[in-house]
Amino acid sequence: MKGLWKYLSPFAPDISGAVEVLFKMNGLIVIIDAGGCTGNVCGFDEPRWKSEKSAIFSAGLRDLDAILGRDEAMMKKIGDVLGVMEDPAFLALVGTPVPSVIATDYQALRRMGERKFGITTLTMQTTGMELYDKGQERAYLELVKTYVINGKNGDCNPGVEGEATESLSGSGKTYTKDSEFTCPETDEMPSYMRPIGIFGATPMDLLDFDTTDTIKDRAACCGGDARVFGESVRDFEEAASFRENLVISPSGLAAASYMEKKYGVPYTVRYPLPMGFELAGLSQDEIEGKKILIVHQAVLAETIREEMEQTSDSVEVDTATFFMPFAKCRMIPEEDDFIKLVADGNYDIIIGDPMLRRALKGWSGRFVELAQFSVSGVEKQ
Amino acid sequence: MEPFYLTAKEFARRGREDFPKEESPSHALIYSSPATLSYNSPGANGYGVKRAGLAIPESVMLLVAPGCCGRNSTILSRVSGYSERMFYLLMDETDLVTGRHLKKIPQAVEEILDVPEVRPKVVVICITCVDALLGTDLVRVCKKAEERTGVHVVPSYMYALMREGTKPPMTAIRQSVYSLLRPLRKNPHAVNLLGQFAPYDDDTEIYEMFRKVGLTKIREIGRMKTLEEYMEMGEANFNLVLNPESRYAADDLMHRLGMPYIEMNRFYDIQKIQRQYALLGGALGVKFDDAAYYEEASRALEAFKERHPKLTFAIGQTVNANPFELAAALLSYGYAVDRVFANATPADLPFITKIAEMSPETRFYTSISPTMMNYELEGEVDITIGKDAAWYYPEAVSVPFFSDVQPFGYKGLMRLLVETEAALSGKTEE
Repeated sequence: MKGLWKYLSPFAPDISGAVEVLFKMNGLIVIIDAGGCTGNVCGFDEPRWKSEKSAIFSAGLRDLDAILGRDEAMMKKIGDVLGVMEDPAFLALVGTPVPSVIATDYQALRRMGERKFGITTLTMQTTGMELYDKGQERAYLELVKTYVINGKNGDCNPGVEGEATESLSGSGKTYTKDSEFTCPETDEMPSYMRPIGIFGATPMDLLDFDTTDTIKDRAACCGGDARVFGESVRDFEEAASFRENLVISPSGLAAASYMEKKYGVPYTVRYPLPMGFELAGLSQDEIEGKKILIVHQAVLAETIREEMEQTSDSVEVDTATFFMPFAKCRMIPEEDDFIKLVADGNYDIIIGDPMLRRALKGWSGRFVELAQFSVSGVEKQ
Repeated sequence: MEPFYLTAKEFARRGREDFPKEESPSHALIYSSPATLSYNSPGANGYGVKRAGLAIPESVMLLVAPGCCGRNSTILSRVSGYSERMFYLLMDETDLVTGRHLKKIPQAVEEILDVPEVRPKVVVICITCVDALLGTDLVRVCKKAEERTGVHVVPSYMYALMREGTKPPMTAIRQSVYSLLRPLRKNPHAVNLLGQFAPYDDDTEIYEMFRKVGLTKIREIGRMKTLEEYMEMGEANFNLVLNPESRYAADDLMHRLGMPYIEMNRFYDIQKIQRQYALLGGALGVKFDDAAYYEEASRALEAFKERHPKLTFAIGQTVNANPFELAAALLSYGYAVDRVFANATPADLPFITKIAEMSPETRFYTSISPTMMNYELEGEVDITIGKDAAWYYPEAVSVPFFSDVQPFGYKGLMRLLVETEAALSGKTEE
């Protein structure tokens, strides 16, 4: 039955994804809920909450607030908190199922926030019914549309759009709508010295032993400047001048595409795997002649697939994801679809989050664990 | 800005008439720091609505909700070992508009019954805030599912939006878990303990003292292994309410089954424990012989005080105690209580008044106040009690004193002393 999950339990929702992108940016983040959604975000989906400070609050909605649409009351509470914060970068209002039901007017909230407090107000129309990557996508888009437009390079608007074929850039090619286009340089820094921007590097998307620092090191290689979007507002402001963007999770694709169309910043889609982990911890011998299914976020799954196929001529690799699809990585909308995929696939090896084992009753192949925080929420060490 | 707090003296002076609005969670945005997580989201630790609903033996739960409402179950159910009893019917936006998810429930119940190795006898359906706003009649839906499947289908509600109403989620779920009880012939020797979802400590004196006065069938939901055993709770002569959140359930049982109830509080003040047993005995027309327990607890307390004559405490609210009562008890034993991190209600005022008399400068912080974002450690305490208090004083000796199995009475006080002693010894050994 559609929507019925009998073996697996819910994955990280869009609310958590949006908050993850905003977490380190020194804004006031208000989740429009009664308390439980904020508890889920802070308690389970945001591993940095226990060690790093961020101004995440629940609106503390009660039934009458929702029924009567008391936006003014919420704004008053927000004003009280802004009064005790030191120079917050923005106010972010993050949606939950409750505002979805009562059809909250986010545009009106944005205007109220900006008019009343004179602060940049971002609204995330998350619903709690979509998954974390949709929330991240919304957050990235909101941030690039809000901040880059005011960036020092302005809008260079290439106005050219070519046909795109989704694929990884395994050979060093970039995946762009129009790779010929180069945004005019408006400052004196030559292109090769400009930073690389990274979309999609949050705890939800990274391998469990990776951090944003290790990703930056690998992305920049040779000591260049790499910036993970979501670490400061300044990176978004300067994003139009970046050399290129690296997208390591599908949640960053829409923002990267926007940056390319609007400012001519090309992008590459690839997860920079650590040396020695190209085959997800397996050896060449272990994958020879095997049929393998990789279930993870699509960019990571596709990167590993490509590495495996380059390593062995005899391996057959399928990729699938419960989240946004990309390239050959197919989407698994429902638990039943996953069970069917495995039943029909005749796989020797499945690589994925340990929680997936629950839905593999009767399958007798080899399961290789590749933790995915957005699935099982396994806490990072 | 300095974090909001009141001294005991100021709090007591303001009293009920000028009760601080800062104590109400809906007054301001809620700061859900790691320390306050359990308070703001009860499911984050211990028993939340979902885990509590599974207290009915041989039951499984179907959560009908947006995915975000079940996210914490992903982690908690694995940790607490109930993942194989949780099922999810996830809603999308079309469901919100059309309400079609409700029509799917009977079939979903039918499908999940085939999943566990042993067929469940009860399915608890849990709905959340969105259905509260949609005005869903879950009772009717459960009846349909019951007719279709032949198993008990119990409605339950995780309405976070109503946490300050007359029936907050943790109160409502207590009513739900006793809702299957049916009237049986009264047994004068039977009593139900209504309090938590896990049992009280095996050595709690209540069991032995009750048996001695003829109350030989002492039942708690946390000890019921089968549905049959659970149903026997319907023969109780009366219910003993050990947690105020069970009062609504007790009212319901009185109304439906004619089962009266008596309330007791959990105290750590030994004099109050003794007095409460005397009052309970008076109400029941019996005399409880608690002298030996009183003596044993007194001796343990005196020995502890001899070993640790001077200690300064900070107390949180994620603890198996009323933090204000616990603070008052510790002060009465001669210790210092520097800080209490908890949200007070008017019902706590008697304890606050007592604290003010003994230690007027004790500070009460409202953990969820937005101003707590600026809280910086100042001063020192020797020991913290409560998981949350430890967050504020990472260097102090920590006694979480927060478990599923519950302490009570004289033995509860002794357990507190034992756990405190163990924590202090650990610190010494380091």
